[in-house]
Amino acid sequence: MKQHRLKRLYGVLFIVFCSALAFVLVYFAIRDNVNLFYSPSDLFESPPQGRNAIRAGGLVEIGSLRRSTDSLEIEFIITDLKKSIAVNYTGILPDLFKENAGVVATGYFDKNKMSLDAYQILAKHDENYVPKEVKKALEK
Amino acid sequence: MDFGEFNIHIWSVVSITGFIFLLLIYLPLVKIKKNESKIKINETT
Amino acid sequence: MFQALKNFYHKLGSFPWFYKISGKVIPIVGFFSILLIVISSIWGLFFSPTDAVQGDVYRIIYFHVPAVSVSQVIYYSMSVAAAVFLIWRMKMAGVYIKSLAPIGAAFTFIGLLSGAIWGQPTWGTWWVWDARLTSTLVLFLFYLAIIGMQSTFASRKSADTAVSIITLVGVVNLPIVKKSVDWWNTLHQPASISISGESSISSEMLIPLLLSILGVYLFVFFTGLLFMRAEISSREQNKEWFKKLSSNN
Repeated sequence: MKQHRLKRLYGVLFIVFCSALAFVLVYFAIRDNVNLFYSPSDLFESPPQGRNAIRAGGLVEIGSLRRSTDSLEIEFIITDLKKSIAVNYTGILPDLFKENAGVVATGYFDKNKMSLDAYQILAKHDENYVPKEVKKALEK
Repeated sequence: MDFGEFNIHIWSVVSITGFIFLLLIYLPLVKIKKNESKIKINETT
Repeated sequence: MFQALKNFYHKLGSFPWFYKISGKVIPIVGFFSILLIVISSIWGLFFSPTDAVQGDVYRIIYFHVPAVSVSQVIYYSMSVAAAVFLIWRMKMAGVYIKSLAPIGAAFTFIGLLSGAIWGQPTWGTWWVWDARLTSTLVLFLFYLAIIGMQSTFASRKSADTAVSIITLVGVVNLPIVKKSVDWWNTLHQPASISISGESSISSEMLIPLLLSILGVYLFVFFTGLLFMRAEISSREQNKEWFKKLSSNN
């Protein structure tokens, strides 16, 4: 390669390097906030300080869902199969919310009771796509 | 999907996607037409 | 001697040659891409099975996945063109970046919008600031910056140079978009299609999805040629070859 072109190639690599460095520095500055939610294990390991709302995510534990008969209030347990925390919530749930499915709950965390007072529930869909008929056949 | 049942989420995605696709074909075609016809006008005058 | 011939060929060849060849290729590619998109859309919308968990709304995948996939590939190809432009000063690379940027922006927009419309009923929210969604928004903003910068320069060459630099700055974001779902906790699910391992989507759903991806890639090839042709027609309209071309028609 000719001298002047080699120089420009270094220029190109320098641009990409600087940009990568910038992205890495930004990442280190915000690394505690890159994760959308905490798993129950994270919450046990280092309970969040202060009174800000946090997000907790995991699976809805099988058999833990309790619905109120006269209101939209529900209680359930979020688990990552190692640790688990209790969640209570009042309101409308997304279509995909059910037991043994992924969930992300936003709300205020109580360190003493290890429970979350949620004001928003989001369902987390997994990467599996299975036809209705196939699933029915599998469950038989 | 059932033909009779109307799913607003799916059809809004389909229509917006379709519109953008048409735009992506239409816009460059107009530009090419315009630039090619400019030359022809210059020639006739 | 050889070098001189090569340079002569490059100077003489590129734009008029591209204009001639693209004129022949465009109708063929256009026909097959639209055919494939129509077939895969009808297959995906009406004939592929309903998802056991999500119901019919999962069918948005046939528009969402091809769009976001192609928007990343377009950006990668643009950054290769940017390097080529900066090192070899190849004019065609400048044309390529300028022409593909609006297409990439359009597909990133389709990806973000279809994702939001899907997320609303399935997740319970249309937007959340997780790593995947945010980095995709950053990709969209880079596309907008590339498009916006085109008109802020007096000369074509300095515009192409500046745009190439911005394109290279943004390329670092692409691996983040791709890997965000594996590196961090996100609301967005990991990839369902895997090239190396087994895909976590049933084959009855996968085949129309792969067809729609192929259709959209062809469509980008088709509109990419169209946009490049349009760009050449405005850059070269005062050149002798372009005037001759029109008078022949």
